[in-house]
Amino acid sequence: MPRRSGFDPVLQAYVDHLNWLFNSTISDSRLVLLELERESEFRQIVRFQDEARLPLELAPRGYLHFRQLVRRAGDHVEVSEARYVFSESADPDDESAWVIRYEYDRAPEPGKPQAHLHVNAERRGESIKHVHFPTGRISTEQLIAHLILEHGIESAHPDTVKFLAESHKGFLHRRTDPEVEAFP
Amino acid sequence: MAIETSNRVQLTDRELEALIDAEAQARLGMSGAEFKKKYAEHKLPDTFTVRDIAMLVKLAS
Repeated sequence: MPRRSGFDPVLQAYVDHLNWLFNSTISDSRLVLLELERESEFRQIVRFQDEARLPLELAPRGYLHFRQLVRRAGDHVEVSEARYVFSESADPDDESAWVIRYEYDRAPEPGKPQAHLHVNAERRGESIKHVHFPTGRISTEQLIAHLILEHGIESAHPDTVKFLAESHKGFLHRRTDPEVEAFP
Repeated sequence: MAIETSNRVQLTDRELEALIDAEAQARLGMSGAEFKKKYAEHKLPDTFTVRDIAMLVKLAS
């Protein structure tokens, strides 16, 4: 079967933008658009090498397991799902190593916040990692800033916060996700 | 073999199935076919791992 030549400049520009954000700040790893060669609605944005999904590598230590499920919607990119895991392990399932997990679902299941955070912590000896802490939708810029400011991840940018804050304005301008009930 | 360019990787349906199978085997100890069947029947727990592999399944939709 011939390879589909359906280059999508809008989706590619979005991946380029994400790589520009990460490569200017906290990681030299590169994200790609993972897609089927035939026509399909969704693509995944992830680091992908040697036929496997990999995390972005951070310094001085740590990994960011970054996934977005996206689709082209008119003249823009729509993020259908996002999952970000900051972990001390390259294994996304290492329960002893992950620190935070953020999840966003454009169309959440009933009873779940559209965007929420899991924290790998304990309270009185009991894990609270399954608790869904409701959040607003966060931008990639906010995620990067959080890792730098709160977890000591190194940035290559000389003025990181200003750089991210400027880019974050673009996220606020472009976002198209609908309002959802605060108590789904 | 998947085609990899700097910003884009295209998979055939067979390559995507192999990727789902590899992740389901390594992370959940089941085949990709079993994962897809149980996921469609809502017979898998609502965990990060399941949702993460399910994102691959959705690529084929």
